[in-house]
Amino acid sequence: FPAGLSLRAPLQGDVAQEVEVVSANPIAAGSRSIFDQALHEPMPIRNLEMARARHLLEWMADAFAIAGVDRLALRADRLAATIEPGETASVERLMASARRSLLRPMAMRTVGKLPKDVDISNLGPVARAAGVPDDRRTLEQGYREIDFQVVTRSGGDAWARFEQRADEAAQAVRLADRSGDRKAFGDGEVEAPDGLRGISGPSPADMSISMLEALLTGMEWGDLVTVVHSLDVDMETVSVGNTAV
Amino acid sequence: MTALGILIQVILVLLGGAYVLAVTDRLLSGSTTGVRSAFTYPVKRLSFLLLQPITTTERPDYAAWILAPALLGALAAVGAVAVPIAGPSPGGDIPTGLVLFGAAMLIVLVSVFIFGWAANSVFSMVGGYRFAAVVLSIGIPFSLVVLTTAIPAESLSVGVIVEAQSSLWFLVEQPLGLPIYLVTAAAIAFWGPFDLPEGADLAGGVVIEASGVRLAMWRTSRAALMVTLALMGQAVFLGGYLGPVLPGWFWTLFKTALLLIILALTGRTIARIRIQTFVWFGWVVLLPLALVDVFLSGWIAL
Repeated sequence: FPAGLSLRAPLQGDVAQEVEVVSANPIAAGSRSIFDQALHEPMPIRNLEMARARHLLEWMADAFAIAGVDRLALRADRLAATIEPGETASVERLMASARRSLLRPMAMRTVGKLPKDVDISNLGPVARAAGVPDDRRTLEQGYREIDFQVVTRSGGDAWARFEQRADEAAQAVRLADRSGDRKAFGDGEVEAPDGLRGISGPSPADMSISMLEALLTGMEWGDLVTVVHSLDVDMETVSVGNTAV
Repeated sequence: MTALGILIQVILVLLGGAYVLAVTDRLLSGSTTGVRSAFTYPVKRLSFLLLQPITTTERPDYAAWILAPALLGALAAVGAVAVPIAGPSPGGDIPTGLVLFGAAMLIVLVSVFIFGWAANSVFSMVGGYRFAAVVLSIGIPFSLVVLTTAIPAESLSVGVIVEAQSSLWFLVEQPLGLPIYLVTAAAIAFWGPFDLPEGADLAGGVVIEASGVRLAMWRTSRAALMVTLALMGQAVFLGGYLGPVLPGWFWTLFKTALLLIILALTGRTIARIRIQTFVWFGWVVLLPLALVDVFLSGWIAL
């Protein structure tokens, strides 16, 4: 569960009767990940994409751990620590193992579909998993030169987000391999692993948090945890003192 | 065999089986540094827990918190007593051994619920509630597939059921039986992918507040419960102690270990099921399949 995010959720049995965001405080204000640096100056695509791949693999590791497949969680964590540019086969093998673990039918299918009236266009993989083809990288010359194509899914549930991130992790190591010394971003916006971040305005984490109360009310506790994790709320980028955007 | 002899035999089998399960589970976890360390891990882990200070919560029900693991272990032992290990018992088996086993396994619900409730902690109690939903959903199919093995044997004695498989194992005669049994047995032992009361989403559920000797007892009792379920599974579906050349005790232990390895492998490779999906699966899939198993078996017996 994201450290710093506090929810009040009275339970009846296993069901959250109502969900209230009590507080959402950043855990490390002013963090300087490569994506934060890319807001201000162009950064090598290779480094950006490898950071993206590692982030997405670590996210997958947490998803496996929540679903009780610790063996695959360990494998994803190890892969995140050791993956090299161009190593797409390892990610694809991990995804094949995820399918064999029945992750979709057992834990994720139809869980956490977002309401259609909510604007999710800046939520990166969450939006693309619901078929919204928005990705800031399409506007970058460096990415166009290495034939970047937006990957999307149509399911819009927790499983679609899992598959989307696995696809994007594989795509990231492929792009890192092709990128040479090209650089991208640096003009105040960056496509981070959790969505479109800018110097000003709400971060993807802020937007995700603002959806939580409506999205989680009435959910089984297990689904609630799966959904919060599937939104990949990066508490390092939450606006200070956020309770709702 | 005397009562004391039976008790010693059951304790040795349960502890030995629990060790095999722990080693297999460790080997399958992917986190061990070698085969040798997997064999020493259960002893190291148990020693660690036994030496660890016991933490507590605000106003727990101490008596229930201590009794629940003991009850779980006792239920495992009671279930195991019904299964002949080495061959036909000279004094005769328990005539209603199958009923004794079934009753003991369903009372596991009480043990897990009490353990979850006694800690006076939210996630622990939710784990207990979850297990009630689990057992209510699979209790009937579990009982049905076990009792169906009594139809061709015309007896509720496990020894007689084993002897009735001298020409053909019930695994073949009742092909739905063992798969349903293994699924429901894993659920009763709250083992993956049905470890809902101890899920990571509940940060450990019923064991979230347990530590030290209490956790060691709980873990050991749960492993013993798994051994009992595997022991009965091999007796009623895989011919128990029947087998060529080698002595009966070998076949019993071999088949029990085989089922334990299957359960361990399943627990490590398949994702935890959602409670909602599980309840649906129990009532809509397992129960009708168990009824088909009963009708087919009855039809063949007629």
